[in-house]
Amino acid sequence: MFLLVFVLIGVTIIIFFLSQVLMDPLALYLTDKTTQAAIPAIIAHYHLNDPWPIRYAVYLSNLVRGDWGFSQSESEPVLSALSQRFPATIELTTASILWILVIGIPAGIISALKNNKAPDHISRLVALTGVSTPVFWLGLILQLVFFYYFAQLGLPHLPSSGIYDTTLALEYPVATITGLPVLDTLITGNWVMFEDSLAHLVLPSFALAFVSLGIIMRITRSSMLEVLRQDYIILARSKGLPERVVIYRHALKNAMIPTVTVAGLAIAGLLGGAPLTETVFGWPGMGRLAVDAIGRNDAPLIMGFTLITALMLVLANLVVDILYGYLDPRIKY
Amino acid sequence: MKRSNWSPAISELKFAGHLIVRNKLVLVGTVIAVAVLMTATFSTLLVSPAVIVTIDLPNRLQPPSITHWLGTDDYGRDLFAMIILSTRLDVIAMLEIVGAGVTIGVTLGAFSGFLGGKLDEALMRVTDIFFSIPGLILALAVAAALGPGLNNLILAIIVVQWPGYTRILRGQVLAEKQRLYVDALRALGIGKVRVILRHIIPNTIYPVIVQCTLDLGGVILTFASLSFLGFGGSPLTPDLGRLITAGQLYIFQAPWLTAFPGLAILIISLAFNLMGDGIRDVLDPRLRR
Repeated sequence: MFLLVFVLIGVTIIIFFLSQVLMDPLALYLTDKTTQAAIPAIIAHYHLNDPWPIRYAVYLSNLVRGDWGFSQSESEPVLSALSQRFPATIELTTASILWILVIGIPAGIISALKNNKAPDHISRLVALTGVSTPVFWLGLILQLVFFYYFAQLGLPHLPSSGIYDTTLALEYPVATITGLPVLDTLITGNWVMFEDSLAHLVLPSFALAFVSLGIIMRITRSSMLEVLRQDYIILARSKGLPERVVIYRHALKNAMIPTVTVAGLAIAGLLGGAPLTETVFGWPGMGRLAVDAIGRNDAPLIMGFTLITALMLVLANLVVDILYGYLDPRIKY
Repeated sequence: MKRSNWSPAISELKFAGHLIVRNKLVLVGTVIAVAVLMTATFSTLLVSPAVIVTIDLPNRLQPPSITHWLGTDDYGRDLFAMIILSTRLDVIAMLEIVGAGVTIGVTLGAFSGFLGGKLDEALMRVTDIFFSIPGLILALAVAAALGPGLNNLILAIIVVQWPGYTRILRGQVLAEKQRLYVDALRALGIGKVRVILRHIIPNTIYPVIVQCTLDLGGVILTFASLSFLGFGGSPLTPDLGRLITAGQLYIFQAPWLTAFPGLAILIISLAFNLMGDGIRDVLDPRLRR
């Protein structure tokens, strides 16, 4: 817990340095309605003429109170602009995590069981390609194949951009409960839009997951191989347990420990890839907002996005640590 | 006794060669990586840089053919030539970033580990903070703060790169400074700075070299990604990420403009990743089986 607070303070120091020392600090707090006459009041309110330590303390207390600056391009406070786009990013990254769990871990297990046979070689190649593929390019190629070429061939094709079909949504309005269209349509029983938003999710979440997929696959494989050599696995087999029970009940839980350790790394990969994937797929998330902000020179929004991403990663790592303790009772905090 | 006539350096080199050739994937990767480096070095001899400013509108968006191997872009420029010229910029950027990152990281890591104390503690906490922000996002924020331009983009990625090397080298130095020869050198009256630069760093740098070859492939991806998002040079200094930004406008009309530059990034990154794996096998004795 101490480390968590420490890291968050460190992150705010970096962002404070970037936004207030390297750039004009005033730009962070100007709104579109600010008049020339109001500027001295802003400088006084945010202590912009004071020494750095005081300015940092003021900056930090403003962050805690929810004043993250004003986004000129969105014409609203940074925090409210980001929080509107937050659910879309969560939906995308959660779906990517599902891909990793559903494909990455089973593929890792299979390639450990078929060590040095064809499935193992295929998974090795996929893993190597995964870490070398530009995620934005993969997104474009997926659109080209599964949207454009499939449509040309008259095959059922997947949508290429957006979070759901907005024209279809006029007929079947999507209620906002959680902000995640897939979940909202499921709750309200809006099956047409549920199917539509699920279809919109397939390509972007796969593109985003692809990089981390390979890492998880390889780690699961190598730790599974390690565990399968242990004495208690030989014992389980000699007791005559079916292979399925040996692998899923006895081996898997122990093999997951190293996998969970690198999960933090995989989540960092997902959060880092989000701006690229969201831009390519026109996904209305925070990442795309930040990328649009680059073009419009809207620094407060970029800094806010960086801060919130760091926050999410720190929390994700906390969850990983807790999971770690659950999987391996020898670890106590 | 005849063995002692053998020069150990040569047999070591032979053994390294054997380790690289033994693994076919590593061999292919190394060959491609060397070819990429050669292409980058001699790109201006292979292709005239004048291609960048030659506009040929009647021949715009031509599909791949005998005259234009990979087709032409929206200005009628030959895509193959553009990719070759872009590769040069990407490779130079990659080497600059990793080179600067290693220099900064090694220097800080060596002094931090050797001197210890409060400086060491403070520096390690700083690296903790850097690790808690996804690399690409931090580079994006730094690049945004520094403003547009190729040099600022390179600087931004260097800022993200150095902490990894610092951590690795510091760990090595902590173990190395306990060795007897370090005490001997100090007893001889040799200064700390000289011990660090002349003795500690040369003895501890191998893991960093391994790590930086493994990083080359990732750095080129980061560079291409940020350049795709609009950071980096002008249209007159093309790089692979920027080619895709330009090409994606014609994704359905001229898919080759997106497909080939991306494929080039993929191949370069994959080749350096494979070569990094090979170099790790050579330099890391624990993996020599």
